[in-house]
Amino acid sequence: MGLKSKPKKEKYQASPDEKYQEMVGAETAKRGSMLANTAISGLAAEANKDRTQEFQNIAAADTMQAQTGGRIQNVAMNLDLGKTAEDTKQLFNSARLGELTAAKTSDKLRKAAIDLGNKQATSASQGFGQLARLSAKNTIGDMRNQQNLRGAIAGAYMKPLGAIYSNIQDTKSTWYGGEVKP
Amino acid sequence: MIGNMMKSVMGNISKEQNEFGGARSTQSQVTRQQFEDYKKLVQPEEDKLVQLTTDTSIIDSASDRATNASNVQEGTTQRNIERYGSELTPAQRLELSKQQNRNRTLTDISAQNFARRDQMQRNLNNLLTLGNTGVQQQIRGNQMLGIASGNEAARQSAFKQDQANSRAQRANTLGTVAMLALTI
Repeated sequence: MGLKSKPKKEKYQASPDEKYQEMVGAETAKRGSMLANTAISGLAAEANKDRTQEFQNIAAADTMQAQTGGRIQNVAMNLDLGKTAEDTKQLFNSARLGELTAAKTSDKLRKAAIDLGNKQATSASQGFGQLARLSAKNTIGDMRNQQNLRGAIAGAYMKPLGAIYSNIQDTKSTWYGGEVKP
Repeated sequence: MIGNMMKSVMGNISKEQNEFGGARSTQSQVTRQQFEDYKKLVQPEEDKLVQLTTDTSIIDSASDRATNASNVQEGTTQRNIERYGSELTPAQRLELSKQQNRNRTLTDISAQNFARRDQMQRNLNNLLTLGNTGVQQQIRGNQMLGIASGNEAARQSAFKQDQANSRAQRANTLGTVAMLALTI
């Protein structure tokens, strides 16, 4: 009864194990952010590059190589108009293919950057949610503690008041010859 | 810093756990060692991966490889001509030279094209690996921080509750003492 000492804040501090875990968690999260952000920036930069000319050049060189392969020594074939038309058609197709490949590549890179960013954001959101829950739990706990404390204090006031009331009753009964008047 | 912290942790844990067994102490030692191993062995590779995302080595060596291939091909042609005792006319020689020049140009262009594609593919794969690794680490780190926050909140809550209980108990004691004083 009342002999228990007050709770000491320092006894409730984090253990070295907890401190170590917090430090490792912070270090891991920061490093992970750094690596992921490097990758996302790199992917975004690559996605925003206009690769149309580059892919068209590649496709054109591939086409010309395929078209000239095996007939480079044949002057007559090089002058063949039918072949020239075919070359033009192939080159047009290669330009179209180059443009499409460049666009698809940009799309893939952008998607990869966005996917990574969303995974990061999901993890961060879960963290916010957890913090909000803890905060709410803390507020509820504070309210409950205050309520319990008010109850206890009220109860404590009632004890001497009860004793005083009891004394008054005793006194009255003594003064009025053992009869208590209402 | 980690070393000192580990020593202090190990000291406290071994003191506290002597009477209850050593599972936590063992786990503490093993997991800390695993984390130190990861930092020593894996992090340098991750750092290399960061560097590799902007690497140009494949493109840089493409021209040299193309030149070597053309040299080998021209050497083979020359040896075949000599082996079979063929004599090329000046016109044939000129034509051969023109063809070889064209081949050199095409080989170089082709090598550059392949190199650009290969380099891009490699760098993008590395970027994706890096991104996935980073995100996984971030998630893991956030989870650990979440556990740490939860533990901290639990400790704070226990303290506040105990503080309130203690005050309530004190109030109760005072009330009882006052009641006794008035009763006696």
